[in-house]
Amino acid sequence: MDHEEMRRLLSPLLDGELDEKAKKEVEEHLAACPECRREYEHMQEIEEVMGMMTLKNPPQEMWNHYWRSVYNRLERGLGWILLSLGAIILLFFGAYKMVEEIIKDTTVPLVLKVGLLVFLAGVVILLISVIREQFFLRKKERYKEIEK
Amino acid sequence: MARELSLAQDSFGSPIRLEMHRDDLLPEREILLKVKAGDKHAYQAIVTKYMRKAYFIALGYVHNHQDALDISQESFVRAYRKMKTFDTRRRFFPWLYEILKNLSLDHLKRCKRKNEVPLDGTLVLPARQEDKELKAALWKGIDSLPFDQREILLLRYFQQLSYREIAGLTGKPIGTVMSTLFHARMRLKEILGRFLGLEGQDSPRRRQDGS
Repeated sequence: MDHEEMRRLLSPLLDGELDEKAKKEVEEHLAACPECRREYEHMQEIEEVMGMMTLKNPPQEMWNHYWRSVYNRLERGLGWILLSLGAIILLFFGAYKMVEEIIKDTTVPLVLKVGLLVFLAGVVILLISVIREQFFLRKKERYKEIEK
Repeated sequence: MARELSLAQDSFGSPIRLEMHRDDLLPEREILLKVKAGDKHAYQAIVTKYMRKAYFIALGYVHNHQDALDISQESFVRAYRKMKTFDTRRRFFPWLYEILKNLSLDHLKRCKRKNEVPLDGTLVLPARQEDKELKAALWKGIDSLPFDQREILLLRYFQQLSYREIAGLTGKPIGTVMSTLFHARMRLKEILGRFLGLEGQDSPRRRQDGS
Protein backbone atom coordinates (compact mmCIF):
# COMPACT_ATOMS: atom_id res chain seq x y z
CA MET A 1 0.00 0.00 0.00
CA ASP A 2 1.24 3.47 -0.80
CA HIS A 3 1.53 6.46 1.52
CA GLU A 4 -1.93 7.89 0.70
CA GLU A 5 -3.65 4.57 1.35
CA MET A 6 -1.83 4.26 4.65
CA ARG A 7 -2.84 7.79 5.56
CA ARG A 8 -6.49 6.92 5.01
CA LEU A 9 -6.15 4.00 7.40
CA LEU A 10 -5.06 6.27 10.25
CA SER A 11 -8.68 7.05 11.00
CA PRO A 12 -9.79 3.38 11.43
CA LEU A 13 -6.55 2.72 13.35
CA LEU A 14 -7.55 5.40 15.82
CA ASP A 15 -11.01 3.83 16.14
CA GLY A 16 -9.61 0.33 16.65
CA GLU A 17 -11.39 -0.85 13.51
CA LEU A 18 -8.46 -2.51 11.72
CA ASP A 19 -7.75 -6.22 11.84
CA GLU A 20 -4.39 -7.36 13.23
CA LYS A 21 -2.67 -7.63 9.85
CA ALA A 22 -3.69 -4.15 8.68
CA LYS A 23 -2.96 -2.67 12.09
CA LYS A 24 0.58 -4.01 12.01
CA GLU A 25 1.14 -2.67 8.49
CA VAL A 26 -0.09 0.82 9.39
CA GLU A 27 1.92 0.90 12.60
CA GLU A 28 5.06 -0.04 10.68
CA HIS A 29 4.35 2.74 8.22
CA LEU A 30 3.79 5.18 11.10
CA ALA A 31 7.18 4.36 12.55
CA ALA A 32 8.82 5.16 9.22
CA CYS A 33 6.77 8.17 8.04
CA PRO A 34 7.05 11.43 10.05
CA GLU A 35 4.27 13.07 8.01
CA CYS A 36 1.77 10.35 8.91
CA ARG A 37 2.98 10.37 12.50
CA ARG A 38 2.22 14.09 12.78
CA GLU A 39 -1.16 13.56 11.13
CA TYR A 40 -1.93 10.78 13.58
CA GLU A 41 -0.95 12.94 16.57
CA HIS A 42 -3.29 15.69 15.33
CA MET A 43 -6.07 13.16 15.02
CA GLN A 44 -5.40 12.01 18.56
CA GLU A 45 -5.65 15.60 19.83
CA ILE A 46 -8.99 16.09 18.09
CA GLU A 47 -10.07 12.70 19.43
CA GLU A 48 -9.17 13.80 22.94
CA VAL A 49 -11.28 16.95 22.66
CA MET A 50 -14.20 15.12 21.05
CA GLY A 51 -13.96 12.35 23.61
CA MET A 52 -14.44 14.84 26.46
CA MET A 53 -17.57 16.31 24.94
CA THR A 54 -20.91 14.82 25.79
CA LEU A 55 -24.43 15.91 25.02
CA LYS A 56 -26.28 17.47 27.93
CA ASN A 57 -28.62 15.10 29.72
CA PRO A 58 -32.18 16.35 30.00
CA PRO A 59 -33.97 16.15 33.37
CA GLN A 60 -35.17 12.66 34.35
CA GLU A 61 -38.70 14.03 34.39
CA MET A 62 -38.59 14.32 30.61
CA TRP A 63 -38.05 10.58 30.23
CA ASN A 64 -40.86 9.86 32.70
CA HIS A 65 -43.33 11.83 30.57
CA TYR A 66 -41.92 10.85 27.21
CA TRP A 67 -44.27 7.99 26.37
CA ARG A 68 -47.32 9.89 27.66
CA SER A 69 -46.53 12.77 25.27
CA VAL A 70 -46.10 10.41 22.32
CA TYR A 71 -49.37 8.67 23.23
CA ASN A 72 -51.19 12.01 23.46
CA ARG A 73 -49.89 12.96 20.06
CA LEU A 74 -51.09 9.66 18.61
CA GLU A 75 -54.57 10.26 19.99
CA ARG A 76 -54.63 13.90 19.00
CA GLY A 77 -53.53 12.89 15.51
CA LEU A 78 -56.66 10.81 15.06
CA GLY A 79 -58.73 13.73 16.40
CA TRP A 80 -57.19 16.09 13.85
CA ILE A 81 -57.79 13.66 10.98
CA LEU A 82 -61.49 13.25 11.93
CA LEU A 83 -61.88 17.00 12.46
CA SER A 84 -60.30 17.82 9.08
CA LEU A 85 -62.32 15.16 7.30
CA GLY A 86 -65.55 16.42 8.86
CA ALA A 87 -64.69 20.03 8.01
CA ILE A 88 -63.93 19.11 4.38
CA ILE A 89 -67.25 17.24 4.03
CA LEU A 90 -69.21 20.16 5.54
CA LEU A 91 -67.37 22.69 3.41
CA PHE A 92 -67.92 20.78 0.17
CA PHE A 93 -71.58 20.15 0.96
CA GLY A 94 -72.12 23.84 1.79
CA ALA A 95 -70.32 24.96 -1.37
CA TYR A 96 -72.28 22.49 -3.51
CA LYS A 97 -75.62 23.69 -2.08
CA MET A 98 -74.67 27.33 -2.59
CA VAL A 99 -73.60 26.78 -6.19
CA GLU A 100 -76.75 24.74 -6.86
CA GLU A 101 -78.93 27.58 -5.49
CA ILE A 102 -77.18 30.19 -7.60
CA ILE A 103 -77.27 28.12 -10.81
CA LYS A 104 -80.99 27.32 -10.37
CA ASP A 105 -81.88 30.90 -9.52
CA THR A 106 -83.23 32.47 -12.71
CA THR A 107 -82.88 36.00 -11.33
CA VAL A 108 -79.10 35.69 -11.10
CA PRO A 109 -77.41 37.10 -14.25
CA LEU A 110 -75.70 34.54 -16.53
CA VAL A 111 -72.35 36.33 -16.32
CA LEU A 112 -72.27 35.78 -12.54
CA LYS A 113 -73.01 32.08 -12.99
CA VAL A 114 -70.22 31.71 -15.58
CA GLY A 115 -67.84 33.65 -13.33
CA LEU A 116 -68.65 31.37 -10.41
CA LEU A 117 -68.07 28.20 -12.47
CA VAL A 118 -64.74 29.51 -13.80
CA PHE A 119 -63.72 30.41 -10.25
CA LEU A 120 -64.61 26.91 -9.03
CA ALA A 121 -62.68 25.30 -11.90
CA GLY A 122 -59.63 27.34 -10.81
CA VAL A 123 -60.02 26.19 -7.21
CA VAL A 124 -60.25 22.53 -8.27
CA ILE A 125 -57.14 22.78 -10.49
CA LEU A 126 -55.14 24.44 -7.70
CA LEU A 127 -56.32 21.85 -5.19
CA ILE A 128 -55.32 18.95 -7.44
CA SER A 129 -51.94 20.57 -8.06
CA VAL A 130 -51.26 20.97 -4.32
CA ILE A 131 -52.34 17.39 -3.55
CA ARG A 132 -50.16 16.10 -6.37
CA GLU A 133 -47.17 17.99 -5.02
CA GLN A 134 -47.73 16.74 -1.48
CA PHE A 135 -48.17 13.10 -2.35
CA PHE A 136 -45.97 12.50 -5.39
CA LEU A 137 -43.26 15.08 -5.73
CA ARG A 138 -42.22 15.00 -2.07
CA LYS A 139 -41.42 11.32 -2.41
CA LYS A 140 -38.49 12.15 -4.67
CA GLU A 141 -35.03 12.71 -3.19
CA ARG A 142 -35.47 15.77 -1.07
CA TYR A 143 -32.13 15.94 0.61
CA LYS A 144 -29.63 15.61 -2.19
CA GLU A 145 -28.76 19.28 -2.09
CA ILE A 146 -28.89 19.69 1.63
CA GLU A 147 -26.70 22.43 3.02
CA LYS A 148 -22.98 21.91 2.90
CA MET B 1 -30.15 -19.32 12.91
CA ALA B 2 -28.07 -16.71 11.19
CA ARG B 3 -28.88 -14.95 8.00
CA GLU B 4 -26.64 -12.95 5.74
CA LEU B 5 -27.89 -9.43 5.44
CA SER B 6 -25.64 -7.61 3.06
CA LEU B 7 -22.10 -7.47 1.86
CA ALA B 8 -19.88 -4.54 2.61
CA GLN B 9 -16.23 -4.16 1.76
CA ASP B 10 -13.42 -3.72 4.21
CA SER B 11 -10.43 -1.48 3.64
CA PHE B 12 -8.75 -4.08 1.46
CA GLY B 13 -11.77 -4.69 -0.70
CA SER B 14 -12.65 -8.05 0.88
CA PRO B 15 -16.31 -8.59 1.62
CA ILE B 16 -17.40 -8.35 5.25
CA ARG B 17 -20.40 -10.47 6.19
CA LEU B 18 -22.92 -8.64 8.29
CA GLU B 19 -24.81 -11.31 10.11
CA MET B 20 -27.93 -10.97 12.15
CA HIS B 21 -29.43 -13.57 14.40
CA ARG B 22 -33.12 -13.89 13.80
CA ASP B 23 -33.65 -14.96 17.40
CA ASP B 24 -32.37 -11.56 18.59
CA LEU B 25 -35.28 -9.96 16.81
CA LEU B 26 -38.06 -12.13 18.15
CA PRO B 27 -39.31 -10.16 21.17
CA GLU B 28 -39.21 -6.84 19.34
CA ARG B 29 -40.77 -8.40 16.29
CA GLU B 30 -43.65 -9.75 18.32
CA ILE B 31 -44.28 -6.35 19.87
CA LEU B 32 -44.16 -4.70 16.46
CA LEU B 33 -46.66 -7.20 15.09
CA LYS B 34 -49.02 -6.24 17.91
CA VAL B 35 -48.48 -2.55 17.16
CA LYS B 36 -49.12 -3.23 13.49
CA ALA B 37 -52.39 -4.87 14.47
CA GLY B 38 -53.41 -1.57 16.12
CA ASP B 39 -52.33 -2.12 19.74
CA LYS B 40 -51.29 1.41 20.70
CA HIS B 41 -50.24 0.43 24.23
CA ALA B 42 -47.79 -2.20 22.97
CA TYR B 43 -45.91 0.66 21.30
CA GLN B 44 -44.83 1.94 24.72
CA ALA B 45 -42.14 -0.75 24.99
CA ILE B 46 -40.66 0.29 21.64
CA VAL B 47 -40.77 4.00 22.43
CA THR B 48 -39.20 3.49 25.86
CA LYS B 49 -36.46 1.33 24.39
CA TYR B 50 -35.39 3.85 21.75
CA MET B 51 -36.39 7.26 23.18
CA ARG B 52 -32.93 8.14 24.51
CA LYS B 53 -31.16 7.22 21.28
CA ALA B 54 -33.71 9.13 19.21
CA TYR B 55 -33.54 12.22 21.44
CA PHE B 56 -29.73 12.40 21.49
CA ILE B 57 -29.43 11.86 17.74
CA ALA B 58 -31.88 14.71 17.12
CA LEU B 59 -30.03 16.85 19.68
CA GLY B 60 -26.79 16.32 17.75
CA TYR B 61 -28.48 17.64 14.61
CA VAL B 62 -30.52 20.54 15.95
CA HIS B 63 -28.57 21.55 19.12
CA ASN B 64 -31.65 22.54 21.04
CA HIS B 65 -33.37 20.60 23.81
CA GLN B 66 -36.96 21.54 23.00
CA ASP B 67 -36.60 20.96 19.26
CA ALA B 68 -34.83 17.63 19.79
CA LEU B 69 -37.61 16.49 22.10
CA ASP B 70 -40.28 17.57 19.64
CA ILE B 71 -38.56 15.98 16.62
CA SER B 72 -37.83 12.68 18.38
CA GLN B 73 -41.42 12.36 19.64
CA GLU B 74 -42.80 13.28 16.24
CA SER B 75 -40.63 10.60 14.62
CA PHE B 76 -42.23 7.95 16.87
CA VAL B 77 -45.67 9.27 15.93
CA ARG B 78 -44.87 9.18 12.19
CA ALA B 79 -43.39 5.69 12.53
CA TYR B 80 -46.58 4.52 14.23
CA ARG B 81 -48.74 5.99 11.48
CA LYS B 82 -46.61 4.35 8.79
CA MET B 83 -46.40 1.05 10.69
CA LYS B 84 -48.53 -0.73 8.10
CA THR B 85 -45.72 -0.31 5.56
CA PHE B 86 -43.02 -1.55 7.95
CA ASP B 87 -41.50 -4.96 7.22
CA THR B 88 -41.21 -6.60 10.66
CA ARG B 89 -38.32 -8.77 9.48
CA ARG B 90 -36.22 -5.62 9.49
CA ARG B 91 -34.84 -3.87 12.53
CA PHE B 92 -37.00 -1.04 13.78
CA PHE B 93 -34.39 1.52 14.74
CA PRO B 94 -32.75 2.07 11.31
CA TRP B 95 -36.25 2.67 9.96
CA LEU B 96 -37.06 5.15 12.74
CA TYR B 97 -33.66 6.76 12.22
CA GLU B 98 -34.54 7.53 8.59
CA ILE B 99 -37.70 9.35 9.71
CA LEU B 100 -35.82 11.11 12.51
CA LYS B 101 -33.09 12.25 10.15
CA ASN B 102 -35.58 13.61 7.61
CA LEU B 103 -37.48 15.52 10.31
CA SER B 104 -34.22 16.96 11.63
CA LEU B 105 -33.20 18.02 8.13
CA ASP B 106 -36.60 19.64 7.52
CA HIS B 107 -36.14 21.54 10.78
CA LEU B 108 -32.62 22.67 9.87
CA LYS B 109 -33.83 23.83 6.46
CA ARG B 110 -36.54 25.91 8.11
CA CYS B 111 -34.02 27.37 10.57
CA LYS B 112 -31.63 28.16 7.76
CA ARG B 113 -34.35 29.99 5.88
CA LYS B 114 -34.99 32.05 9.00
CA ASN B 115 -31.23 32.31 9.50
CA GLU B 116 -31.33 30.96 13.03
CA VAL B 117 -29.54 27.80 14.03
CA PRO B 118 -29.97 27.62 17.79
CA LEU B 119 -27.04 26.97 20.12
CA ASP B 120 -28.44 26.45 23.57
CA GLY B 121 -25.41 24.91 25.25
CA THR B 122 -26.16 21.24 24.64
CA LEU B 123 -22.48 20.24 24.65
CA VAL B 124 -20.94 19.44 28.00
CA LEU B 125 -17.29 19.30 28.98
CA PRO B 126 -15.94 18.13 32.33
CA ALA B 127 -16.10 21.10 34.76
CA ARG B 128 -12.35 21.68 34.85
CA GLN B 129 -12.27 21.83 31.05
CA GLU B 130 -15.25 24.13 30.67
CA ASP B 131 -14.44 26.23 27.66
CA LYS B 132 -17.24 28.09 25.89
CA GLU B 133 -15.05 29.19 23.04
CA LEU B 134 -13.99 25.63 22.29
CA LYS B 135 -17.57 24.35 22.39
CA ALA B 136 -18.78 27.07 20.05
CA ALA B 137 -15.85 26.40 17.67
CA LEU B 138 -16.62 22.70 17.71
CA TRP B 139 -20.34 23.07 16.97
CA LYS B 140 -19.54 25.54 14.23
CA GLY B 141 -17.01 23.09 12.83
CA ILE B 142 -19.40 20.15 12.92
CA ASP B 143 -22.20 22.21 11.40
CA SER B 144 -20.02 23.33 8.52
CA LEU B 145 -19.38 19.73 7.42
CA PRO B 146 -21.34 18.28 4.47
CA PHE B 147 -24.32 16.40 5.86
CA ASP B 148 -23.05 12.86 5.19
CA GLN B 149 -19.84 13.65 7.10
CA ARG B 150 -21.70 15.31 9.95
CA GLU B 151 -24.06 12.36 10.24
CA ILE B 152 -21.30 9.78 10.55
CA LEU B 153 -19.21 11.96 12.86
CA LEU B 154 -22.12 12.48 15.26
CA LEU B 155 -22.98 8.78 15.28
CA ARG B 156 -19.36 7.91 15.96
CA TYR B 157 -18.69 10.42 18.72
CA PHE B 158 -22.00 10.96 20.45
CA GLN B 159 -23.56 7.53 19.99
CA GLN B 160 -20.23 5.67 20.20
CA LEU B 161 -21.24 3.39 17.34
CA SER B 162 -18.78 1.10 15.59
CA TYR B 163 -18.28 1.32 11.81
CA ARG B 164 -20.45 -1.76 11.40
CA GLU B 165 -23.27 -0.26 13.48
CA ILE B 166 -23.08 3.02 11.57
CA ALA B 167 -23.23 1.07 8.31
CA GLY B 168 -26.28 -0.85 9.56
CA LEU B 169 -28.04 2.34 10.61
CA THR B 170 -27.34 4.49 7.58
CA GLY B 171 -27.43 1.74 4.97
CA LYS B 172 -23.96 2.73 3.72
CA PRO B 173 -21.18 0.19 3.08
CA ILE B 174 -18.46 0.01 5.77
CA GLY B 175 -15.85 1.27 3.27
CA THR B 176 -17.95 4.42 2.71
CA VAL B 177 -18.38 4.93 6.46
CA MET B 178 -14.62 4.66 6.90
CA SER B 179 -13.68 7.08 4.13
CA THR B 180 -16.42 9.56 5.07
CA LEU B 181 -15.18 9.59 8.65
CA PHE B 182 -11.63 10.12 7.43
CA HIS B 183 -12.70 13.14 5.35
CA ALA B 184 -14.80 14.48 8.25
CA ARG B 185 -11.77 14.29 10.52
CA MET B 186 -9.59 16.08 7.98
CA ARG B 187 -12.16 18.88 7.71
CA LEU B 188 -12.51 19.05 11.47
CA LYS B 189 -8.75 19.30 11.78
CA GLU B 190 -8.70 22.21 9.33
CA ILE B 191 -11.50 23.95 11.21
CA LEU B 192 -10.22 23.33 14.73
CA GLY B 193 -6.54 23.33 13.82
CA ARG B 194 -5.98 27.00 14.62
CA PHE B 195 -7.96 26.73 17.81
CA LEU B 196 -6.13 23.69 19.10
CA GLY B 197 -2.78 24.90 17.81
CA LEU B 198 -2.29 21.79 15.71
CA GLU B 199 -0.07 23.47 13.15
CA GLY B 200 2.19 24.95 15.78
CA GLN B 201 0.07 28.09 16.03
CA ASP B 202 -0.46 29.81 19.34
CA SER B 203 -4.00 28.69 20.06
CA PRO B 204 -6.44 30.18 22.57
CA ARG B 205 -6.63 26.75 24.23
CA ARG B 206 -2.88 26.33 24.59
CA ARG B 207 -2.52 29.88 25.90
CA GLN B 208 -5.11 29.01 28.55
CA ASP B 209 -3.26 25.87 29.51
CA GLY B 210 -0.07 27.90 29.76
CA SER B 211 1.67 25.58 27.33
